[in-house]
Amino acid sequence: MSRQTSRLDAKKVNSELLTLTYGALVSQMLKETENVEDVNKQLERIGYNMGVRLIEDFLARTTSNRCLEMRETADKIQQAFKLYLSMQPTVTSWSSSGDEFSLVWDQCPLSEWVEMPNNGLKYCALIPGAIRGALQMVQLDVQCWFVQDQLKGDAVTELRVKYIKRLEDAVPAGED
Amino acid sequence: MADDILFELLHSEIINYSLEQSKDNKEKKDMDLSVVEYIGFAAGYKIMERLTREWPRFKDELDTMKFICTDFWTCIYKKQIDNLRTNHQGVYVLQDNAFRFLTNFSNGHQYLEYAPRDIGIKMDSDGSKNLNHNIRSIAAYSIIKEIQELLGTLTLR
Amino acid sequence: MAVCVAVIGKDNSPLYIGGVGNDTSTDNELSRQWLVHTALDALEERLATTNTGNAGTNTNTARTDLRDLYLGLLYSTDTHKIYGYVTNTRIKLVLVTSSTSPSGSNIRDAEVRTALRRLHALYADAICNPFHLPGDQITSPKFDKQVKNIMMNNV
Repeated sequence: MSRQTSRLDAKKVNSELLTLTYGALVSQMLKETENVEDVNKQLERIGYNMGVRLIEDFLARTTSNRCLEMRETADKIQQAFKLYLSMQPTVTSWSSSGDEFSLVWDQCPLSEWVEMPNNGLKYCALIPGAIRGALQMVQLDVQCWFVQDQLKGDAVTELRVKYIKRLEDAVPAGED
Repeated sequence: MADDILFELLHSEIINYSLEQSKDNKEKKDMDLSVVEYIGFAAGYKIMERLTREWPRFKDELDTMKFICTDFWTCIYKKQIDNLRTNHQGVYVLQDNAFRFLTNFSNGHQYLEYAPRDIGIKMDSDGSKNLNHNIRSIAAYSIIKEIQELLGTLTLR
Repeated sequence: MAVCVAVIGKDNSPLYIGGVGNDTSTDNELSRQWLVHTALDALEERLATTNTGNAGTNTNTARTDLRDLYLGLLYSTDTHKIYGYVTNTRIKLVLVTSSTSPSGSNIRDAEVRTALRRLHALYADAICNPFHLPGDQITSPKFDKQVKNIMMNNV
């Protein structure tokens, strides 16, 4: 076997592999249940589970300190998007109380090539799930939902993050 | 571009998901791998179209296998294939002694004995032995199956 | 101007056939399909010779040519020229130009090559839509629109 160096861009290929594998999972889930809401919930939960594990990697790689307020948390989330998805969402639309903000982006590797069926599917539900899961591990209980979705014809995708409460240090092992 | 760890996490979530799905279906004794298989197949099918787009035409079987074993394998599995055998009738056995999705198993773990995997045209159907491994192996398997059809045509010319 | 573009699967089933032109009568549609299917035979033949050629000794120039996914002009009729392209995954792309229109008769090989390469890229993107199932026909309106753009502008 020749030992020529690969002419493929490994980073790009692996990114595409993630996109396509996720796409296949979503499409498979839709095949198995007619209830789109169920699929949205399942995707959110998968994201949650991934977030729970991802936070360890994030903390190790960024040597982050504990966030004292939501603005710091928002910065960290932004940093995580850059680190894991090479995308730079804008943090914007803060509520006056400073406990609620939006992440806005117009490009996301996960939704590349996607042409949506018209059925209320939240294709990227993995992302809010992951944010919720990751923050739960650092004792932050948040709500996370889509306000706008490019895949549904909006100009940008807007994800709203709302602080609910600080959790006690004893963290539940996982959901369900 | 997405970081590798995302794929690894998603991969294990997919395994969990299909385990749950097969739990619901109690009629079958063995784990139902059709979900994992489909996901691997679809992703493999699609990515292969992208990867071979800028590639010169594969001139023969060997050329195709070279692509799978070197370029493709190093890209996805982060290393070259360890061994390639063939019966010269269109059946190829690929062996990887440190499969990316198996090395996460702790050392000395019982699954380790399955680590030197043969991914050939007759793939081990006893998937439950190596759950974590299956999605990728099947993806690779599907890709090989894709190519196999292509090879079949070539042989028939 | 290209009058017809077709994407044909491994098993020779059409995955997409698109046509543009002034005349969109059924007759025309049928003759397009006929042209495409004749092109398939020519394609298979071309591939076969390509492979046989490769087995023998070749000059370097011939080899680069043979390893090109673009197969060039397959054949021409009084009214049309048919060009072919086969991907490494055995998907066949066919492009038909009309010799009777001024833009079609003077077309250069390089233009057709570019158009088919772009078609290949569009195809690769279209099948990456997670809701497109492997081997199915391509029904995406977006793909259709982009292909028709290629046909109108580039060729």
